[in-house]
Formats: sequence, structure tokens, C-alpha cells
Amino acid sequence: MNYHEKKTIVTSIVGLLVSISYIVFAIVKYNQASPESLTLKFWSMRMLIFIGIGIVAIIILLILFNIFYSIYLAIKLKIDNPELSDKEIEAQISQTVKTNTIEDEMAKLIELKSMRFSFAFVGFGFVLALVSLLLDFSPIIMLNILFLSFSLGQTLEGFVQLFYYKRGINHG
Amino acid sequence: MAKEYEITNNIRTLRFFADEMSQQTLAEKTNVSRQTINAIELGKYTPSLDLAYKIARVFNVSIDEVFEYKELVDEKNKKQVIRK
Repeated sequence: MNYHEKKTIVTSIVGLLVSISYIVFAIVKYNQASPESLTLKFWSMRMLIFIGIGIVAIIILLILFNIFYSIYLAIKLKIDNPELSDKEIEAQISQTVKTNTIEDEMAKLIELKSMRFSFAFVGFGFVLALVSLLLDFSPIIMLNILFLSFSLGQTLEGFVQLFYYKRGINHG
Repeated sequence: MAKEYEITNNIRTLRFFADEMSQQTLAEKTNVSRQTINAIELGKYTPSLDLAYKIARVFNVSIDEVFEYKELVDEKNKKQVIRK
């Protein structure tokens, strides 16, 4: 499993966890039906908070991931080549990290192709949100469907990326 | 639609004849990740023309010596060819 696959797994899992925690929160709040939870302002505020939590969580986990990835490389190098000095290991790690983390044409192509799935999912969510209004559901439901389609669409993008990394990808 | 062609490559062989050059070294010389070189070698990714030229230049050979374009004959066409 390469660096990009591992990174995608980390970000997708974080995205999925944030989405799941939001769903649980939304169901609990909706069932409580407290007066404040019946306003769009309340839901907008909570959604912004969850977006913030998601961004901060991904940043922190990516920093931790990069630190642990470097440690893993150092240990692997030391086991494979016990005669190497610390400076040589450091130089090799920085070179390996540089070549493994590079955002090259294959990574960009995979990102572009997986983004199509994400857009399709969000589009489907938007249509579903409109249908919910037509069926006389509350605008709160519509807002939640929109939010979840964005949030789950991003997670889906990550899984599609993983699929392409495993199966391979071609132009056209 | 089934793919009508296949692009194979000789990168593994060329690396062997270039003093067993590692994928990492080839990746550094072509400015892509090692995973991309690995994917190309395994036929999981077809590189752009830019990258194909870069790879050929590393081994000092023409692009034809690195990549080979093969047309695939599907079952339907095969039957037509046999009938003729």
C-alpha cells in the first residue's frame, strides 16, 4: 500500500466518522424536537461546527500520519540496513518521502476521475433534497440531506480513489 | 466497451540492464512517485506522452523500445477473420 492510499484511507475514515457522528447528532436532536432545533439557524450553526471539526480533525490526523510515516520509514531502513548512520537514514527518508508524496500525473488523474463520482453523488443528493420539499418534508430535512450528500460524497471520493489505486487507471 | 488495444512496456528489462536501477531512482529521475513507476511497470497505468519520453530518455533509448502498442482482436472480429 503506497503513501497516497494510506493518506486517502486516513482522510476517508475521518470524513466517515464525522458524517456518522453528525447523523447520530441529527437524529437525536430531531427526535428531541426542542423549539430551538426547529429553526434553520440552529442547523446551519451545527453544520458549520461539524465542518470545522472535520477540517481540524483531518489537519491533525494528516500531521500525525506524516510523523508516523517517517518513523515507520526510519525503522524499516534501520532494520534493512543496520550499517547505515543516522545522517544517512535521515537523508534517505527525506528523499523517499519526497518521491512517495509527490503529486504526479497519476495521482492527479485519479483525483479528477474520483471527483466525478463525488459530484454525481452530490447531484443526486440535491435532487433528493428537492424531492423532499415536494413531498412536504421540512426544510430542515432538505438542509440535512444536502449536508450529508456533500459529506458522504467526499468519503465516497476517497473510496473511489482507493479503488483506482488498486485497479489502476487509464487515460480516456 | 472492451479495450481494443494494449500498451505493454519493457521498463523492468531496461532497469535490469541499467545496473539494476531501482524504481525509486527512476521515479526521482522522471519526477514522479515510485508508485507511479510501479503502476506503469505492472500495466496498471498508461503514462502521458511527456512521462513516456522522460522514461525513454533516462534509458537513452527511443520511446518504441520502452512501450509497445498492441491491437487486441476480440472474439467477434476473430470469427469474422476466420470466415473470410
